[in-house]
This record gives sequence, C-alpha cells and structure tokens, in this order.
Amino acid sequence: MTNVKSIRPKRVLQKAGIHAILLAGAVIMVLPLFWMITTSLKEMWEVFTPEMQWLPEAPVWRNYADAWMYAPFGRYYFNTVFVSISVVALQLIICGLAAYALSRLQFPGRDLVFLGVLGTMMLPGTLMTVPSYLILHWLKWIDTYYALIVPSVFNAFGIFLLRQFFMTIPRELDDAAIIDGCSRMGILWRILLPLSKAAFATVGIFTFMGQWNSYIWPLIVTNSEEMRMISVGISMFKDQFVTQWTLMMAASTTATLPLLIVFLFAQRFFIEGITLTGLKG
Amino acid sequence: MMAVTRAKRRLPRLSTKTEQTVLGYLCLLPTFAYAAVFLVFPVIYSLVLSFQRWRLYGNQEWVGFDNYRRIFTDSVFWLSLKNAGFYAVIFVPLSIIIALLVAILLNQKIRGMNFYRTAYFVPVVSSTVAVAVVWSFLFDTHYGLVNEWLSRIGLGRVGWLTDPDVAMFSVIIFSIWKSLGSNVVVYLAALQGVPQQLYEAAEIDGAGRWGRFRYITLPMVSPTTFFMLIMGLIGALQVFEQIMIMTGGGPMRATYVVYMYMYDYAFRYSEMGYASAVGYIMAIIIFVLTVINMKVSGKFVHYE
Amino acid sequence: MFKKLTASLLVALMCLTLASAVGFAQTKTITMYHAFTSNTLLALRNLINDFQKEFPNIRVRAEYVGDALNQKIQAAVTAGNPPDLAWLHSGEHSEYARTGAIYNLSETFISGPNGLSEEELNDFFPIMKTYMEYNYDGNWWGLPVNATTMAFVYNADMVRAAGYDPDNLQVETWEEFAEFAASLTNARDGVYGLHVPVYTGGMASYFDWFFRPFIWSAGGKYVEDDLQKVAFDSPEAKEAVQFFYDLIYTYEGGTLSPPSQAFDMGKVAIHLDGPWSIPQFNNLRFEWRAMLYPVGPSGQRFHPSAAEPVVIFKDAKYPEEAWEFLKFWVRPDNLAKWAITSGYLPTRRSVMDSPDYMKVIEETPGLAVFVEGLEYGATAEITPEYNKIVDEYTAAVELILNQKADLDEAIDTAAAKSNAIIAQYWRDNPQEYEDLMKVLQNGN
Repeated sequence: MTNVKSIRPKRVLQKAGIHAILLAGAVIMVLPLFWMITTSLKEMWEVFTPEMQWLPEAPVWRNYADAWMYAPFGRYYFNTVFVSISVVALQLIICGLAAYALSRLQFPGRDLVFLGVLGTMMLPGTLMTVPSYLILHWLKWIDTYYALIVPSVFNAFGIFLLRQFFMTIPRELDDAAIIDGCSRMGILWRILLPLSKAAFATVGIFTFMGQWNSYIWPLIVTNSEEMRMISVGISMFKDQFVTQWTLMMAASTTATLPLLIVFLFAQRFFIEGITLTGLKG
Repeated sequence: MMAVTRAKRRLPRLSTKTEQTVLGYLCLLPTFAYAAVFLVFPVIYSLVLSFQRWRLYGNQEWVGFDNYRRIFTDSVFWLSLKNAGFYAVIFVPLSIIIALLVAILLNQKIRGMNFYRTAYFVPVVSSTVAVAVVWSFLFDTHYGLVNEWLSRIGLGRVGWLTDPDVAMFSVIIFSIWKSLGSNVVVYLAALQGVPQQLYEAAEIDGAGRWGRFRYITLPMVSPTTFFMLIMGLIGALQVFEQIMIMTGGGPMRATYVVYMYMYDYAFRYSEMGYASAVGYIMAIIIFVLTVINMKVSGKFVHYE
Repeated sequence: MFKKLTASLLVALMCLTLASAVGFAQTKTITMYHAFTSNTLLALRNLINDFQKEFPNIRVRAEYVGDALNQKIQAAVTAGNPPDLAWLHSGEHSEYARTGAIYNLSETFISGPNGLSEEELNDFFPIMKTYMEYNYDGNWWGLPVNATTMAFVYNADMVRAAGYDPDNLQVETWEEFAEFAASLTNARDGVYGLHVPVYTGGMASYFDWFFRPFIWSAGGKYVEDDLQKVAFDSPEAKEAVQFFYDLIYTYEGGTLSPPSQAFDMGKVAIHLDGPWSIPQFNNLRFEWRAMLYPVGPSGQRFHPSAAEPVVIFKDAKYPEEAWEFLKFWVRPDNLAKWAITSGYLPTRRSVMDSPDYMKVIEETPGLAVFVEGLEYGATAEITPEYNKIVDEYTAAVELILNQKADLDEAIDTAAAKSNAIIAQYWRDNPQEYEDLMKVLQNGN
C-alpha cells in the first residue's frame, strides 16, 4: 500500500515531463505551418519586417478571395482527391498482394523478386522522366487521368513495408486458419489484412500525401487546366523573379489544411490497431 | 462439420509447393505487369543513353565507356559522392534513433495524443516554400532564433548555413525534422503490433524500463528498423530536395551531393548521356551497399 | 470521361455552326507552353483575346507548365509531340537551336512573304538584336517579347538616415558605390549596404547577371573574341573581383550571406532587381528608389540585359499559324499593351517611345531608371557550355570572397579548367565553330 502512494507523484512528474518534451517538439514541428497560416492573413508589407512579426495586425481575408480567383481551385480539388484516392486504392491492392507473396509464400525466385522490387528505388527518378513520358505518349494517355494515376500505382516502399509487417505476424495463425478451411488467399484477407491495418493505413497515408503534393510530374503529363492538381495552384503565385507571398500562402493553406484533417481522421486506424492487437495478441 | 472441412482441404495441401509457386506469381502479376510497361523501357533507355553523348535531342552518338571514364576522373563527382556518403552515415542512424524514441513517447496513453501525433506529422505535409523561409529564419547567422538561443546560454554565433564546416550538419538537422513525422508513423504502426502481455509478463519478472525496451521493444520492432535502415540508406544517398531547399549545394560546395551533380548534368549542362551514366553509377553503389546492409543488419532482425 | 465527351461534342457542334457561318474556314488550334503568372498571365490572356478577334480561325491554347518548363519541353520534343510555341527563359534558346528542335525564324519566316521587314527588325533594340543573333549562329531562332534588365534598388529611408539625399544621389564610380554601401552598413547589428550574391548551382546565373557588368566596366571581357578561351583571368576582370573583395573587407560595405528576403526586411539597403518587381516594392513599408550600375575604371557603365524569346518548334502542327500569332505579339500596338500589363520592358524602340508607354514611365516611379539601364545594356558574350563555365567561375569567386583562396590562383585555375571545357566542346562541334566565326566576322 505504501508503494502506491510513493508512485503517484512520480507518475505525475513523469507525465509532466513527457508533455514538456512532446510540446517543445510539437512547437518546432508546426512553426512553418503557423507561419504559412499567419502569412496568408497578412498585408504584403507585413510579411518581411525588421523584427520578426508572427501575427498580422488585422487578418486580411481578402487574400483568400484573391488567391481563389486566380485558378479553378474547385476543379483542382476534385482532380487531386480523385487521383489520390484512385492511386491509394490501386496501390494498396497491388502492394498487399505482392507483399503477401514475398512474405508468406515459398517459391523459387522469391528473393530475387524482392531484391528487384528494392532495385526499382535505386535508379534516380530524374532519369525516368523522359522515357516515362514517351510511354504515356505511345499509350496516348498524355493529358488524361490515366497518366496521373497508372504510373503511380506501384510503390516499392509500400511492398517492402507491408512485407515487414506481415512477417511479424505469427505463422501459426496461418496454419490454424488453413486447418479451419481457410484458403491461402483467405489468409491475406482474414488474417494479415486485419492484423496490419496500421501498416496499410501508413502506406495509404504516405501515398495520399505524396499524390497530394506532387507537382512536377502532373505538370509534365497533363496540358489542360482541367487536368491539373492542387500544387499547381500554389505555384501560380511564384514565377522566375517574383513571389506573391501572401497569396501563395493563402493557396498553400487551402491545399494543406484538408490534408491535416485527413490525417487526423486516418489516425483512428492506428488507434483501432492498438485495441485490436491488445485484445487478441 | 469440422472434420468434413478438414478432409476436403487435405487434397490441395499435398501439392502445396506448386500451389505456392503458382499463387505467388499470380499475386505478383500486377507488379510484373507494371514493371513490364513502366520500368523495363526506362531502365534500358537510360542505360543505353549512358553510353552515348546526347545533348538535349538531336544526334545521339555512341561513345562507349567515355562518360564513365570522364566521371571517374572528375574531382567534383568524388566530392559530391563523399558529401552524400557523409550525409547518409550521420543521417540514417540518427533519424532512426530519434524516430523510435519519439514514437515510444507518442505511443503512450496520455491526454492530447491525437494533437501531438498530428503535430509531428505536420512537416511532412507543410508547404516547401514556407518551410524554406521559416528554416532560414531559424538558422540565420544574425537574426536566427537558434543563434539567439545559443547566445542566451552564452555561446557564440554559428554560421549554420554559411560555414562550410557546419552547413551539412544543418542540412541533416533539417532532414531529420522533415522526415521525423513519417518515420514516427511507421514506428507507431510497429509498436502497436507488440502484444501488451509481453510487457506485463516482463514486469512481473521484474524487468525495468530499460530491460523492457532492450528485450521486448527492440526485437519486436526490429523488422521495422531493418526496413528503415534499408530505405534510409537508399533515400539518403539520393538526397536532393532537402539540400535544394536549405543550401542549394553551397557554401563552397560543402553540401553538393551526387544527385545534384547528376541533376546539373541532366538539366543545366544538357548532357543527358553523362547524367545517365552518373545515375547508373549511383544505382550500382546503392545496390551493393543495400545488399551488404541487408546481410549485416538482417542478422539482428527478429521475425515471428 | 463522359464529361469530356459531352464537352468535346459541344465544342464540335459549336465549331460546326461557326464554320458554316464563316464559310467552312477550318479552325486550327495552336498551343504554347509558358510559365507566366500574375500580371504576365493577365497580359497573355488579353493578348490572346485580341488575337482571336483578328484571327477567328486560329485558336490559341496557352498551357501553363511552371517549373516543369524545361523538363516538359525536353520530354515532349523527344516524343515528337512538342507544342507549337514556347516562351523560354533568357539564355535557353541556343541549346534548342543547336539541336534543331526549333525553327530558324530568319530563314523560314522572317524573310518570307509574311515576314518582317528590315525596318521592323531594326526597330528592335540593338541589344535585342545582338542577343538574338549572337546567341547562336547569327540567325533569329525566336522573337524577343520581353526585354530584361536589372538595376540597383535601394531603401530610401536607410539612405536618408545615412546622410545621403535619396532623390539626388551622387554615386557614380566604383569607389563612390563602395563608400555608399559602407555608409549603409552596420555590421554589429547585421545591417549591410549590399548583398553580394555569390551563388553556385541553379542560382549561379543570378550572380552572373550581377557581376558581369563589373567585369565589362573594368574594361574586361568574359570570353575572348575568338571564343577559344575565357577572358575572366585578365587583369581587368580580376580587378572586378578585387573590387568586391575590398568592398566586403576594406570598405566593410557588403555581405555574402544576409538573411533571405533581407531587402524587404530592411537588413540590406541595396538590392539588384528588375522592373517586374516594382509592384512588390510599392507594397513595402519603406520608400525605395533605383540607381544605375556605377561607372568602372574603364569610364564606362554597363547593365546586364537579355531577351526572353518565344520560339516555334520544328514538329509544330501549325507552324504558319504559330508564326502569325508570334508576329501579332510583337506588333507595336500589341507589344505596348503586353509590356504595360506584364511589367517587362518592351523590346522595340517604337513601343518604348510611344505616348502610351511614355505615360506609363511617367506614372511609375522608378521605371525610368530601368529604361535608362536598358540603354547601357549589354548581353553576355557567347559562352559555349555556359552553365559549366559560369559554375567554375562562380565557385572560384566564392572561395576568394570568403577568403578561402588566393585571387590569382583561384581565378587562373578556373580559367584553365574552363578553357579545357571550351576546347573539348569545339573539338566535338567543329562545324558550329566555323559558322559562328563567319557570323562574328561579318558582324564586326
């Protein structure tokens, strides 16, 4: 009983310490986001001043109206969401299947395939631009959604990550399931998928973010304004010589905030992950 | 009921090896199809280019190993390779250790965890331009917040981005900041796969905080650490964007890395063939290091 | 997909109605890549509207490709699928010309029946002509739509505080310039007169713009006339480097590394910029003025300037129509509207002298200095392997100004490396050298 009493203040102190560390880290992490949002509400002369000025004197909401007038942000949103979700869905299927084969099945050439998957990340992406454009041109996919979606559906990162997670799940579960009449594909669906929800969510989120922020590639493979994605909207406020900071930050805020909301939402998968393994494991 | 199913299923299990091979390649079919359409051609295309002299378009001239020979005799190439290697050696282990520690902190059940997790993920999605501006404020020699803090505790000014001896460390700090969020997310996913009972059992056995970390957490997340090591090395040797944001390769080429070298040849010097050869050399180096990396660190991985 | 189908059906229907009305004249659509934003984009929209009124049978599709401009052109040309036209950054059309990706306008269009007369060509500023002709082989491979030049913009409040009269500034020579910068510097507070922008890599061309006029006004050159060797190792050119060394260490008037956006923040008093930034400057909280480059030891003054051309691609679907649009663009009345809205300087004398543009100069404080700067404008010498040479030189100057290398030694080493690069280039492209020398000899 005396034990409990002595632990309590220690626990409180510990928690306070953890909060202090996490909070300090969090401040450094969100600083640019904070600057982006406050700058989007500044007058132009408030952006760079002799003394660092974090907050605008009075919020200038007009920046948002002005930024949105420049480009069809509605259309950009639609394209970005449509493309990102399509890529995520296709990628999770392709990566899940490949990771299953590479982690759970025994067959000749498996390790070679795995090394090959890793190998695709080793040749610098810069060299792939021209030949990839050529392929899309031959397929007559330039300026279509295909060009934005299909070349991105493969993700070596995703395959590797899922493979690693599948490998931590005990094989006895597979054997038990097979004995219970589950097919080999059923193992992926009934055992691996539910037990690595967090990993799937991770791959999904990374891909989603990557698509949301992708900028140069969409510019190269699409021509018309109706096919463009949200990051193009941000770039419209900066040319070779001049940057319109306030409008650019308004556009950036417009593009980034939905992403953070998506992340907040997707986090629930991780937490669900806890309870699941907590119960079963 | 159970017995019937079992009997039914027994037959296919006999041919389990063939079944697994067929199934394995079936699962890999989409991957192979993708590779056939989108990877094979670009890989061959740039390999062929690396043996040619090709300015932007127009005549492609076969030059044998000339590009490769030129690369190996260029001191700037070796410098850029050395810089990338230095970056990788410091960045990869540091980023992994910090990510694991932060992930452990973020894996606790305390109030406000959703907020913290989102906050640590923010750099991953922040606008590049805003990030560049804010970090240049932080790292500025005269007005930077970092130097201001340092002078408060009685330390002198550091030329974070202007001193060639320091600049690479600044880039590494920045890269860790930028990538921490995604690494933490991966570790969080891994930590949640660690059964709670293991910790409880260890606690009963009298294991302390360190003991639980050393004998449970570390081995249980080792497949993820392995993943981070491999991916980290591949990524670090191709570092580009972070350096463009922070220093553009300066001061005095102190942060000029091999990807930048390749990029310059591809787009500023209009020598696509030469750039392709640089890319292939990079790919070979990365491949060899990855295989070694897999062999060495693979020994410490604990799979179920 | 469906939406697209309906849309294209609708367009087809409209075209049909239109075509029957006009009498079956076929509408041709030409496309153009560009990276214009804000005011320049507005100017482009107006231009296309005006063009459409006059040429209802040619539709212009302007495609914004932003930072992907070069990569996209490279990919599209390789695929044989380029746009009809593209706007290019200054200094980039020679590479396209060299590889035969774009039309030789002089040969194909300018001299043709629907071309430009000698008078019209002479109406372009001499500096524009030099730029277009000397950037490759004496022919025009594009038409210059923007004239670019830069001048030193300064913070009038800081200048006043330093005891100068910003409206009657007597800063003419290098020495006066250095003293002026020194008087604006307060190194202890991190405030400097001038930022010496020695950047390597992607920003090296900004340094080149900044610095080359100083080499010229010292009486030096960047490249020898026979294009076989660089000339930045001459005593005159070295004097320019020495001047900046002195400006930083003897006069203590400059810094190599101010915080980013230092001019806007009032941390650096003098800043090199172009007329396109005037609207931004007017939004700052302090007053600003602009001044010319100082006169150097040679007694001459130079400003960096260049042209931004629009080019027509060899694989264009409708080169004739593209030319029609390009010709329309540089017509004095249209070019005047373009320059006024976009903020770039006009490329033709008649536009600059037109009452409309005179009025703009009068109404826009500071603009007159840039216009005057264009009179002192000089373009970069033909430099084979431009980016490589500039990188070599800039890296050397960076070392010297950081006191990490001896001036003579570093410059001579850079020169030797550069000369080897140039020699290799001419060995690989002897024909190009011959052509160029012919042009240069005729020109002189």
